[in-house]
Amino acid sequence: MNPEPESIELPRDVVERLERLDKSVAVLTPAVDRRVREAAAAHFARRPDRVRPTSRRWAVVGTLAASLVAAAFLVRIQPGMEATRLANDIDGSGVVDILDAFAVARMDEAPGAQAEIDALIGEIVALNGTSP
Amino acid sequence: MSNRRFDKLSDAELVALCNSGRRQDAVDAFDSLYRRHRDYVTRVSLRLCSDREIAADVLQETFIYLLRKFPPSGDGLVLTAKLRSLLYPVARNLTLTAVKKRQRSEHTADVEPDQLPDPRTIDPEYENLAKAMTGLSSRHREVLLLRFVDDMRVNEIAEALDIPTGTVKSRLHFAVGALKDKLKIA
Repeated sequence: MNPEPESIELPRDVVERLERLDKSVAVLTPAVDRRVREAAAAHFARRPDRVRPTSRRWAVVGTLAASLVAAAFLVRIQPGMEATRLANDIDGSGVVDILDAFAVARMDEAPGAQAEIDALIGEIVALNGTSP
Repeated sequence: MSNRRFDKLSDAELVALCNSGRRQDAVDAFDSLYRRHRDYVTRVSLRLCSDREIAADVLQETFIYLLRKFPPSGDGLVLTAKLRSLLYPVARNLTLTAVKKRQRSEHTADVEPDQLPDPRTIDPEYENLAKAMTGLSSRHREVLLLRFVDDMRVNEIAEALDIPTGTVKSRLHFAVGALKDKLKIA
């Protein structure tokens, strides 16, 4: 019977040399880079600019993203609400965008985070002047 | 905005954007995936043949294959393991097919599927290791690199190579022993 494979080990220095040996062959591929980027642009150009989210999770992310953008817009026209703008800039990039929605989605994976997300949604909706 | 804005996202998040994100988000997310895994796919191909032209073609075809998984042409991609577990077999099969095609068209045997970069062109620091690796069969060398360089688990290797986990275990066990013998490591 073979031993458990994750317990089959090589000395650390051999592994490090293997990694360096494997990465020692550098290949620059500017022509391929360009062709792949052009293919991606052509591929996604056929897609509608807005796509319906395919699951509740992504529906939540999409709703949050739209709400965050709307909140950011409101904050820009109301100078007194600077603290709220910073609170919605989850990743601290200075811009409220889809990355903030991903950051909220990651919070979704933490236990007990759903209540915080619900509160955030409520706050954003209230900023828009409607009931949550 | 820079197309590097998504570089900090995980593979799963980038794949989700390619599946259902808006047009420009999908383009930028795919570009991040490409730049993140470009060198890996190239190395996979060069492990199997030393032909850089083939490796460049394989790189392009591998990512075109991935691209077609996403809407509107594909149904979308669901990641059940590391993305590299998906990229590896694609790059491997494309490389082996390209090598065979070239051998048929050129009637030459100067490109062997098992060939590694010539040890004589390798830094002397790694010469012994390169020779020891060349002394292993391609199958044993492959599982060794997947396990220790690519940091894949046994089930991921089995999925990438489409072989049973028991086969991976036995190849890995043999490969580690053989490499230690060649390097005279206890």
